[in-house]
Amino acid sequence: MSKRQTPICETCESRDTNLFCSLHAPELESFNRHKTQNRYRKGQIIFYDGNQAFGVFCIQRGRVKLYKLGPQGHPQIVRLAGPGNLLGYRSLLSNEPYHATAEALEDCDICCIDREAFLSVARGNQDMAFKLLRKLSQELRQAEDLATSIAQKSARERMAELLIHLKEAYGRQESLGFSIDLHLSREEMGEMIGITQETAIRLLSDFKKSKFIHVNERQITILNLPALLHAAALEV
Amino acid sequence: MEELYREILVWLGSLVCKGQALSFRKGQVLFYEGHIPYGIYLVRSGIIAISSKQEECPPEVAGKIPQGEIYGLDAILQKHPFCCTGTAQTDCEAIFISRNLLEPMLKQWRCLDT
Repeated sequence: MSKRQTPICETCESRDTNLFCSLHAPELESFNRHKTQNRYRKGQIIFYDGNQAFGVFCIQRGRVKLYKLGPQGHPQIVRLAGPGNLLGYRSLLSNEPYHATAEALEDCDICCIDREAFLSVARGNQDMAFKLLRKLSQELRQAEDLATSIAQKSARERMAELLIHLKEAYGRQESLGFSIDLHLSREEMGEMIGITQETAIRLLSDFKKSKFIHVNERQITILNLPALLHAAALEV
Repeated sequence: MEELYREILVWLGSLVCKGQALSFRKGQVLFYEGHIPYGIYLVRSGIIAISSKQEECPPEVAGKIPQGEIYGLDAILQKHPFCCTGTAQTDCEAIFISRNLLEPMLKQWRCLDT
């Protein structure tokens, strides 16, 4: 079994986009000493909902879904995360167990930073603490938006809204429109907005027939954004 | 070396209270083959099945980690990735002791190893 080198934080390509961009050399050095990087294959679990938090996970490459299982055992995707995003930091800050299960949506390179090293740096660096607060606020707003959407919007509106959110986060301008650079299954899309896989298939098919989107297997391209905004009850 | 190994085990016993209790339902994975360990696992209850995808997997690799066993110590000491995947065969509870907590022991080991 071969030994693998863990990359250093100073030269990590995702550093500029994450909460660690303002850290100083000694703090990054502390992370380097107390972190381990592993490659998670698609479908592998990074941590489980309910387990005590032993570290914070920083994504260098790849995408991850965070989900919770409902009382009937149905998953609800609560968040998607990509390069530069941190997983598990809320649990460390609140000294609570991980609140969701994190699963690799594609092959990922992820660093696990030891709990105490992360908390020590967070306590000592005001700028990072402020950035954590800002990130927490954003995630709280997104959770509130999702709760409101699930409670008050129809399945069709929610699917249209999801496509718009995916376009904002992962959209790439192409000649036809905005291609969503994230290949989710219909089941996963349903799990993001609280609908069944069958409903997700039907709604995407409706949008396709109406020429709002183009679908090629898991690749979705948004062709008519204003129409989709209207369908999501989000006016331009 | 054997004496040091025994000392390590005694010392690990004293670290258990600082470890974190992790629960795994049947079928859930504790660690993956090829991953560098974040720490070691002490199985408190249940059985963990270990398996490897390597064709040349040594026979001692495939098997089970029964209650009371520690797993991951060799990989940590040798700075090697896990040579197998650990999956809960029954609902399990394990105490996880992070690499950070093990650092004093690892330093001592490295001194002897060089």
